[in-house]
Amino acid sequence: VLHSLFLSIGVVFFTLLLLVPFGLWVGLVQARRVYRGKLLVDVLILLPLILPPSVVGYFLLLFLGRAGPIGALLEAFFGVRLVFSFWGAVIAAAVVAFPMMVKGAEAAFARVDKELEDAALVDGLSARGAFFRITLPLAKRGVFAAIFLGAGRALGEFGATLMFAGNLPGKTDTLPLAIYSAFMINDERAALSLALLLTGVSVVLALVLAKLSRE
Amino acid sequence: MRLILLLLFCLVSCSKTEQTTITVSAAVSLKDVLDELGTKFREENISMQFQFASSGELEKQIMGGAPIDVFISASSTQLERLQRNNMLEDDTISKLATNRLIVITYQKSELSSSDLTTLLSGAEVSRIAIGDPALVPAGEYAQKGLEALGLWERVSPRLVNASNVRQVLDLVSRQEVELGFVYETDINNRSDVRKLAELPKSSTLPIVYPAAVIKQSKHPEVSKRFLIFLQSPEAQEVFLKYGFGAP
Repeated sequence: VLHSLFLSIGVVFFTLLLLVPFGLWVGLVQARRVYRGKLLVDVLILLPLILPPSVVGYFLLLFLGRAGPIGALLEAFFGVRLVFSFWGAVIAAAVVAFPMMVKGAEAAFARVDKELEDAALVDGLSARGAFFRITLPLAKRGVFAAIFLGAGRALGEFGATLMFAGNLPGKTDTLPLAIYSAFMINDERAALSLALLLTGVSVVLALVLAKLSRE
Repeated sequence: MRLILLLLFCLVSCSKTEQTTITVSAAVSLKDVLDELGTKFREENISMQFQFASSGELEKQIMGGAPIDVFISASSTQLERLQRNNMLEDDTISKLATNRLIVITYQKSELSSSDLTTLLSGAEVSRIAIGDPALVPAGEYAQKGLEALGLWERVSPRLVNASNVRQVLDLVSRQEVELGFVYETDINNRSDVRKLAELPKSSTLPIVYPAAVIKQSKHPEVSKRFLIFLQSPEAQEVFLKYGFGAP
């Protein structure tokens, strides 16, 4: 039971490590830039949110599996096999949490007054400086909300993980998968205690989110 | 709007009164043979609905009260548990076919046929797929066989549990695992995988497919006739054609 908790925490941690820089960057671009094909990028960002996780898992297997185009390259050049590994679980969680993160960040950045940024640029700050000194602090609350939403989605990931990372005891059986296994073998006690544990963590996450949107 | 509702109502009620549908839940290794047998069992106003999954998953559904008429398991483990819980029409329990467990690899693999001990000790075998022994009979047979051969301890760190035997087949054909334990009949007409070894007869339990009518079935008579049909010479010939053994 405990190893599933640590595994879940690990998956959420590395998912955020991957998604916070990348997701915030994409969110900023979508909020500020106008470019050709923006609509298409928007569709791609939203797709993992709308697609059933089983479809996401299937596509991951198809492209990143050993026989898939990207998976074969990864193994040939880096000796990496993602399927049935911890990193497979992280990738599955990152893909499904990505839309939450980007959309949340995009909304938070869009609410920041563009004139404040422009004023900072006129006063001699670099673009990077303007982002870290002006935009990010002003969008702070919305960005935190986006990160917590993404973390919640990564924590709850089930379908894509099951298909892509499998349900290997001790390796990829995160909390949601461990509950499923316990239920399937009639171990009601384990299923209930895992469910309560996950509910507790989720309540804390929801509380933080609710606080962030009230203040 | 009203017209649409009327049409919907008609669709639902018409199909209900005219046709009897019996739901057959069967071990996924029987998929191909039952698809053919389902078309051969023709009765007036009877339609067959098949549902395929691991026997353990189906057992769980039947215990939970799912509306299922006939259960065909790949092992007596699941059937006997249901029988103890008084879920089956006991006098309908019958054996339909037998099978053999084999070890496969993907077509392009460099592994060659040899005995199990050599195969499973090889360093080039980093992952081995079996059905989850708690739910999948093929996995349970594999575990018992490997234990009898004294290989279980050596193999278990490299095992990947699949949710049914056809998923094992899928993992091997996608080259995600080097070896997989499946039934001989699972690789009929498959050119992307090949057989490497067979589990010695002495090491495995006999692999038998038992079947029964579920107690809460609303169509017990038709269900019984279907089970009797599956044991008829005509149906048994189809089982043989797909590589199953006689019970």
